[in-house]
Amino acid sequence: MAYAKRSGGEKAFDAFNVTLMVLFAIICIYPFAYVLALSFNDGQDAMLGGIYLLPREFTFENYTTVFQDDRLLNSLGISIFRTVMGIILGVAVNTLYAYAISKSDLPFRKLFNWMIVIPMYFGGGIIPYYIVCQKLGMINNIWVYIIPWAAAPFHIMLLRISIKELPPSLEESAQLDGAGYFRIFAQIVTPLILPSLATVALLTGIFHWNDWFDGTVMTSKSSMWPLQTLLLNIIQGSDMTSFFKNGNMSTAGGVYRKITITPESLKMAMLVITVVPIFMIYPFAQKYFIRGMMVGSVKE
Amino acid sequence: MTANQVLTKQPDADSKKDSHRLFGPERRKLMKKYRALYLFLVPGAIILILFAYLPMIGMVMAFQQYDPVSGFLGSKWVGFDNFIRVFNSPDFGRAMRNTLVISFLKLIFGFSMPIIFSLLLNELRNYRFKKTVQTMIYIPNFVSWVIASGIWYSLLGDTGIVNNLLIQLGIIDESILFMQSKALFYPIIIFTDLWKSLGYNTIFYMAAMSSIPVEHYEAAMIDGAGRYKQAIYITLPALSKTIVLLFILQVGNLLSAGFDQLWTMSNLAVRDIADILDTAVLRTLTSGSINDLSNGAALGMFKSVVALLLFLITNWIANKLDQGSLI
Repeated sequence: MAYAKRSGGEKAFDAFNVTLMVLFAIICIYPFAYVLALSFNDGQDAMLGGIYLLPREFTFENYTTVFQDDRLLNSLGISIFRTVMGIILGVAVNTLYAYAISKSDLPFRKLFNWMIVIPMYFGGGIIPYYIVCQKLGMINNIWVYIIPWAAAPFHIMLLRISIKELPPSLEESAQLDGAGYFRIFAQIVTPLILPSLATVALLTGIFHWNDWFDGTVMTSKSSMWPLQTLLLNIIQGSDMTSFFKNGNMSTAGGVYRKITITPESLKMAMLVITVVPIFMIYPFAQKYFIRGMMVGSVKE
Repeated sequence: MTANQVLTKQPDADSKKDSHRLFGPERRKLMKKYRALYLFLVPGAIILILFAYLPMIGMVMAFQQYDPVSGFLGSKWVGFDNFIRVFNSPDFGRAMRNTLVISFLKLIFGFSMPIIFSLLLNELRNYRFKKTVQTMIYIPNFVSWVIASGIWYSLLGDTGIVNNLLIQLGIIDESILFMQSKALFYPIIIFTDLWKSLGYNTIFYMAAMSSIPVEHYEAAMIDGAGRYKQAIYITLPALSKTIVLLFILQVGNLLSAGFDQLWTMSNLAVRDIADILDTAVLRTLTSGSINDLSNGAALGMFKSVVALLLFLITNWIANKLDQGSLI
């Protein structure tokens, strides 16, 4: 946009605006840098305060301790499993559904359409949901994290919109060649909607990686906790003694060893471990997230 | 061309007539043609029926004295007893009050700030700078509330950076227990909510702005409108549809208040003012008492129904207003 020559007032406004935006961006990012610095700092030393951006007493101790803990490794495994399976199943189920309802003359299409619209605005609530899962034998079962989320109405809508944008002639010519719907779906439709598939895969992955609720509610065993649920329990003050079993706190070992870790410094390392995957995919994923949000905001 | 139109129109009209009959010959033919596609619908449909629709049917337990052995079908019916008991309990009044207070605070700040910030972002002249700022302010949205809560507990803790700075600047002598303070709890909730979602919520508005034709601004400039006037008279009106849409969604969520945030950020010291409807429902589940389940279901159902009504009412009003403004 071309602007006229800036007046003094405008210059002042621009300076103010830029300052405000820089400040805002710093507030958004800095908390992560702070936690990162603490996670690499000697825990005892960190209690003195005064660490702002860089570690003062650099150490890997927090990470090595955390990665030796069975509970953490177990939860990490659960989180990875549900994220990978959740993405595979979610993308498959949603894309198949979206492709079928993208045919505008499919009999009962309206019924299947309503089937995804209603749950977007109304739900039975957590208690009946829990009881249904219980009756289906899914409490304390890892699939309770995955299967109920495999059909996501919002993702189906998003995929349906991009399938509908494809030129019908592509499919028609394949049909003339005798291709069935499975082949058309797998060989023609899917490759053409890859950006939307990426959006759905990323949104599903983020959801599964970030979810702590199912782990809190749908299981009674802490061995079933995904990483986020384990972290939540630790933040809310659950027992951390398992982390201190390797002689760090014990006097029984005989050999004197300086204690450097604290519950707080271990929390910082766990926070970083939990958030790192998000930061790693974010630069590549940003445009897909925004795309997903755009499509979602213009329904129908 | 015309022949083509007639040809394509013909089956359409037929199928319209046909749709009055559930299984007319035309539909049967189509169903046969598409029979493979119904298989595509099966996995999604089964999952939705089991995990979205069965729980909706399960809401009948709100009118029962639910007992796990007899299930939804065999449990004793008690009419509105559960609702009456829930509405009369002191916990409900407290949760309702907290929910509304937090929701209104979020409506005031969480709703207006993204509009203001997107107008300000739009005024940034340097494209690269603007993109960099946008990339940074979206990030907090992608981490879970567990992470956000952990981070802010650390920043606001007694050896955290906020206390550190305040002491060094001589503003306070002793660390403030931010997270344990009832007076500071709502401001912290609002602030952290903004921290997490403000940047991301500007996306909607930025998208709407990018579709404003440049000619509108050029015409305004010729008429002598400065940047401020352009923002108020061109940009802002162009956002009105988006503003209304987001407002409807937010009003529909009035009884939600942000469950994830309040469950992860609250602690015993602030329980009184942090308990909302959703946390109250969940507590009936985690309490382990079977008698509580029906109460929890009643409370949950009340919340779902009110949310739906709020959504439908605001949606209806928005439609009316839109029609009115068109004339």
